[in-house]
Amino acid sequence: MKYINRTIILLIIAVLLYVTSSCDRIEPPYTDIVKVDTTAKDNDTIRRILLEDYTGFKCVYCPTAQDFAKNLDSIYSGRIILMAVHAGFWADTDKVHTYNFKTPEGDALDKFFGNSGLGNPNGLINRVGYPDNAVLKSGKWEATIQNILITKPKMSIKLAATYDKSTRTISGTANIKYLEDGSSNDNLCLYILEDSIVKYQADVRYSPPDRWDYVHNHVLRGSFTGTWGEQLSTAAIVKGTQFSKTFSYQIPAGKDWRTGQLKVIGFIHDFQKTYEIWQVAETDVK
Amino acid sequence: MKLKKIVSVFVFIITYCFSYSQDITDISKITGNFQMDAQLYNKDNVIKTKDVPEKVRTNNYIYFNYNLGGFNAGLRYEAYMNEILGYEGYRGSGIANRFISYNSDILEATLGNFYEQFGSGMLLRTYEERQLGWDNAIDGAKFRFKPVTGIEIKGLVGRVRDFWSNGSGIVRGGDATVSIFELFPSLKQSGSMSLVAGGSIVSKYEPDQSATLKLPQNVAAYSGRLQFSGETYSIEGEFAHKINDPMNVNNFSYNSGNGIVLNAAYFPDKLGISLNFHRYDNMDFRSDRGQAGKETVINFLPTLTKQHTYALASIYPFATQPNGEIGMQGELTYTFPRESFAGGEYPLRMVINYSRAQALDTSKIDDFTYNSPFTGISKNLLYQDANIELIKRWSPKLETSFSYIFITSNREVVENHPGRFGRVYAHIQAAEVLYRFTRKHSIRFEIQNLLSSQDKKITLEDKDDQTNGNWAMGLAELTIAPAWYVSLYDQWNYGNDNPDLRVHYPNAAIAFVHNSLRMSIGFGRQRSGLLCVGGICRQVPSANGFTLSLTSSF
Repeated sequence: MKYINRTIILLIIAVLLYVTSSCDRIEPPYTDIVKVDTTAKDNDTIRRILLEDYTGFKCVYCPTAQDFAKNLDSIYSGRIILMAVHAGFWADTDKVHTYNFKTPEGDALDKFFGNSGLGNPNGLINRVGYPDNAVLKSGKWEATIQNILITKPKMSIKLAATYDKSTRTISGTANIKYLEDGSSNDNLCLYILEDSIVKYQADVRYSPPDRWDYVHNHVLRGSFTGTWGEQLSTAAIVKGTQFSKTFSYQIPAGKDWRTGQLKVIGFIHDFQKTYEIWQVAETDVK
Repeated sequence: MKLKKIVSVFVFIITYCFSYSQDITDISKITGNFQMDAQLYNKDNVIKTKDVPEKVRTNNYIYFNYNLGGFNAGLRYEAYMNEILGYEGYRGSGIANRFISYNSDILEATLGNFYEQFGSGMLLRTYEERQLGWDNAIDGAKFRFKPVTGIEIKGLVGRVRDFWSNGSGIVRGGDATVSIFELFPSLKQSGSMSLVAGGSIVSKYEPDQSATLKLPQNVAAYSGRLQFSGETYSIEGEFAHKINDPMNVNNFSYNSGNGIVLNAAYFPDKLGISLNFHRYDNMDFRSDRGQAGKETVINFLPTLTKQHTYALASIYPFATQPNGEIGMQGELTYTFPRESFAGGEYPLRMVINYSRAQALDTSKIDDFTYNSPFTGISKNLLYQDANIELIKRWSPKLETSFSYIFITSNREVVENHPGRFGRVYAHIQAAEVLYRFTRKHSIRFEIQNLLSSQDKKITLEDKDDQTNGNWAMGLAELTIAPAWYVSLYDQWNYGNDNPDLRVHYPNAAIAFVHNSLRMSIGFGRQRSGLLCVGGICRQVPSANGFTLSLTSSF
């Protein structure tokens, strides 16, 4: 019995140690006072992050993730660029919901990274973690963002874009300066996004969940450079090298894009190998 | 390289053991098993199958175990070339499970991947269920200690499998089980009595990397349980509590979690009665707060609904709602006496079962907390299943059974389709005849019919939401024991809202069994829907083509 008693006592001590050391009870307020340095907005010195939110207008849980992304954008102001990609089953049109948000580029990205196959909503943060861990649920976005924010940019990107009403053409320039050595794998991608599209969205937080006046922001609309962009150099890129690339895109007839709400994002990523985005920039179409 | 190293070490250990002594080879043994599932996909525009460029996809598993006295070492290699549709996330190949363990009468210690369960699993249960693509094995260390007869203590630490990697959170846990009557035999009134008490604690650690929320880095949960059983009855219960655990799945709620499970059974001769109850409130427990679905889940919350074997009855299954659910189930099994009107040489057996799940009655306090009175039951019916089964054997050769099943399923909640379907009301009738020509030869027929209506008609051309309306099914299965099994069946969605989808899902399959080898080949259409085992579900997409399954053990 002595042996039993000793065991039980040891067990109780172990349990008590567990209970006392393994609980973090949080008392209100549950929110932290945010102290994020958002003063440094110079593209030469900071690395910006592209948050690709893979969503669908029929995906009831997606608005929560979109709010989460919006919240991160306000916390890390100037450091994050958002892009909403409507992809997969939940973005399919039907007899009731006929407006098509899908794009060939979005479909190609979704197929490659497998986002909708893993269940929307989810996202890519600078596409880090490819091939196994690139697709992240919204609860993992912030930790990944924090890990990237402490890294230095490999290059700076400066964008300018204008719209010519007479030719329905968006054109502009991307100026790139390498702050470190680059690779021949580096591709420049230039996408068109649109803000403030008022269309249907299913939202689990509402009953019934149909929100016909939902505001869709930073929606991927098209690309100047295809899905994967254009190669910057066939040889390795030496630190200090500068590129100036022009781009243009004629908006196809029948598109209902509102040019005052359009934006252009440009990013350089490692095409063929890690697919990681090294730097990203954004500009309004003027 | 990693694989080569592990295999080399494994081979070295085995070779060393073989060469060390003939005695060792005499007492050591290698066992294992192999499984290959393959599916060939044909394009089928009628049931809107997915494009599969590879045409053929396979899931493959091989497991080796080396045993030497009290030592065991094992590994499981998995290859998804590419993964069968519905197993997304598993693409590629590698060693998914490897361990080494030592067993003695009083101690078992394991390093590597392992499976474990505390109590009913409400705090911790890790297991593999290949049908669901589920494997939440823990990679770490565990021990099981039995200091005296009647006491068992378990402890573990590790990370939960997340497809090809492990979750970032660290899980720690301890469990103690005391069999009172084994410890104090003098208290025992009869030989079959058993009284078992137990308690568990599980804690997970995950760093707080949020700049906006104060997140608990250590989340602990604890439970207590009691089980009492005699010759014809048993009663058991478990209560669990989890401290604040804000995460993706509960929309970052800071409420604590609670769970209670009560089971009672009475089973004298010819009669069986069981009653089950559970209440879960915010009891999703996973090692990584950012994950969802089946990723990094630590615990297991079984559903209290009957696991039907009839195919049409499984069209509308129920998935446990860990964020909030009250469920109950009652089942009566009765074999009529021989002298009664339903008796005779082979008396009638009757099974009546009823289960129901309701949402909790909660009210929001603020963005992070809600009020959830323990006795609060919402009017929101999640699921209901009332069914009766009559089984009658007429002669040594002939046996029949008839089932009637009425299911009410809130598909909006169960399948995450808010606003789409409302509730589905499904009446299922099934009849089965089994005729044994000889001891080795038998044939079985099944006919099933499902009559359903739902609150909202399907008006969408949704690819994965085509299951609705009335269904019929016929099945014939020929058994030539012990080697051959041949089956033919057809499911017909004759009452689909969409006339284009009133299609047949014919299937044919043949299986061959020889010792531990089993091979089956099938061909036909597969309907889309949820496949559920114990309240855990996997979305199965529609498909058309061949299936091949090969299993063997050695």
